[in-house]
Amino acid sequence: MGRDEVVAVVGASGCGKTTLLRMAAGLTPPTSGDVCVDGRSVWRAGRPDGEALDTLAVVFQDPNLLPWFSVEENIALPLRLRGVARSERLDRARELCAFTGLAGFERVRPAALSGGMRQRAALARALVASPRLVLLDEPFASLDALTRDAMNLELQRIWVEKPSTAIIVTHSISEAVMLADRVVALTPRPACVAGTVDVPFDRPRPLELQTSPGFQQLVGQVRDLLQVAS
Amino acid sequence: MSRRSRLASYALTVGMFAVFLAAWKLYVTSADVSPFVLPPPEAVWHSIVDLLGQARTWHHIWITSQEILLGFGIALVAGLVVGVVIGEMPVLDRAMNPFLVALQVLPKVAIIPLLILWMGFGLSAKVVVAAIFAFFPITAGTRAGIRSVEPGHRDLAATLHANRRQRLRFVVLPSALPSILTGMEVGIVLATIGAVVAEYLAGSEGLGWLAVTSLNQLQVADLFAVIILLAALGFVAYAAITSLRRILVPWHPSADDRPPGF
Repeated sequence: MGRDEVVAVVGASGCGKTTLLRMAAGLTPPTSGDVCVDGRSVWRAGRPDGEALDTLAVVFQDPNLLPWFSVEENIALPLRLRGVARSERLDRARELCAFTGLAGFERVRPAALSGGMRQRAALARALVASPRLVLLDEPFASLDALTRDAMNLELQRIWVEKPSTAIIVTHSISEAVMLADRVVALTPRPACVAGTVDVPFDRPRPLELQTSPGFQQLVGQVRDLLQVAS
Repeated sequence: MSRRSRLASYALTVGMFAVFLAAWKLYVTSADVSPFVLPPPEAVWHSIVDLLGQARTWHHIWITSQEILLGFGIALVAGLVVGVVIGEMPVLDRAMNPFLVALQVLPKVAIIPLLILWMGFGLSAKVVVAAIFAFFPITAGTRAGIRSVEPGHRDLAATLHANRRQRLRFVVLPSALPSILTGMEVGIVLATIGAVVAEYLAGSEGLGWLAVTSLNQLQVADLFAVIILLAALGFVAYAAITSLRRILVPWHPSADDRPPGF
């Protein structure tokens, strides 16, 4: 992957999209092969490498906010674990609250937030330590359609203002084309790459883009790759 | 819970208590029950007032309270340590499981004479009995809490490269705390029972001993009064632990006294 490139991974349910992401995140060891971030292997002798993990961040399908911490404490958690001073980490967390549209909710607990706001907080937590690679595992799958559209726009705004390399796993082809610079289609299990489709649109991409012939053509190409593979 | 519904539930509690007292009085009067079998409520009330006016009663309350608190404290420390260790290490959990189950199913009253043989009739034997009674629920609550940490939270700690101490402090223990508190709530009740049973069997002071002495002297109203004092002591200890829930886990549904769905 190139620097600041966004790659979406699509494929049939059970093909191993999430397993691929978990291998990259240091959660599931690969049986063969390697995952490298900036040339550094995520796995060393079957154990995740701490320094490699420090360069990446994960946004899960479930926001996984810790209910005993406030929103700002959740966002600041990666910095707290790295020993960053309290005032410094909370300043950074509040800055990211404002950046992700959570201003005014810094001190509330996650239970008081809507699904979309919780996912914003999870995004802010992923960005707080300025990772080199962000891994997103179907981050908006549990949201309703309107909130999902809003979060897709929000994610693009974040990438425009703070570019970062990202891998997003999704089962929605149109979401993949909407968000990514490159879409990788996987075959059913045992998964291999069925093909890739480059997405040439500039960011930010408006929602109306999804009805354009160019967008639909790319969606069709990805769908064809998946259908041929199955 | 709103102030109004809180007042309503207090009023209901007082009302139920009044009905209980009225039924007790009615039964004693109408069935002409001997005061040696069941004294009337006013006789028990007089005994309570009389006992609380005596310095020796407060000494007995203090002795029993000490046994409960020390026993519960020992059980809390031991239960937390053992619960965390076996909760985090499945191999040790499997290895220790037969011992823990044996300790739980063993009729603990049966080992009290053995403890007295080893430790004498003093405070320490009663403290150990209270600790043994309270140990298992605290251990079981801690273990269950640690085992039920959400997998997503464990994944989060792993991707954040948290070390063991950080994982315990920021993720595992806060998540296990509601379950630990449930174990503590059962534990404090069992510690009270353990201390009183030990006093029944081998006491020379304390509320359990006072109850036995009242019975031996056929002071049945005093016996009832001591039982009520014991219930009050247990209630205060239990209420202290349950109030910790609102302080320590305000984020958890169990700290909310509203019924589900409200």
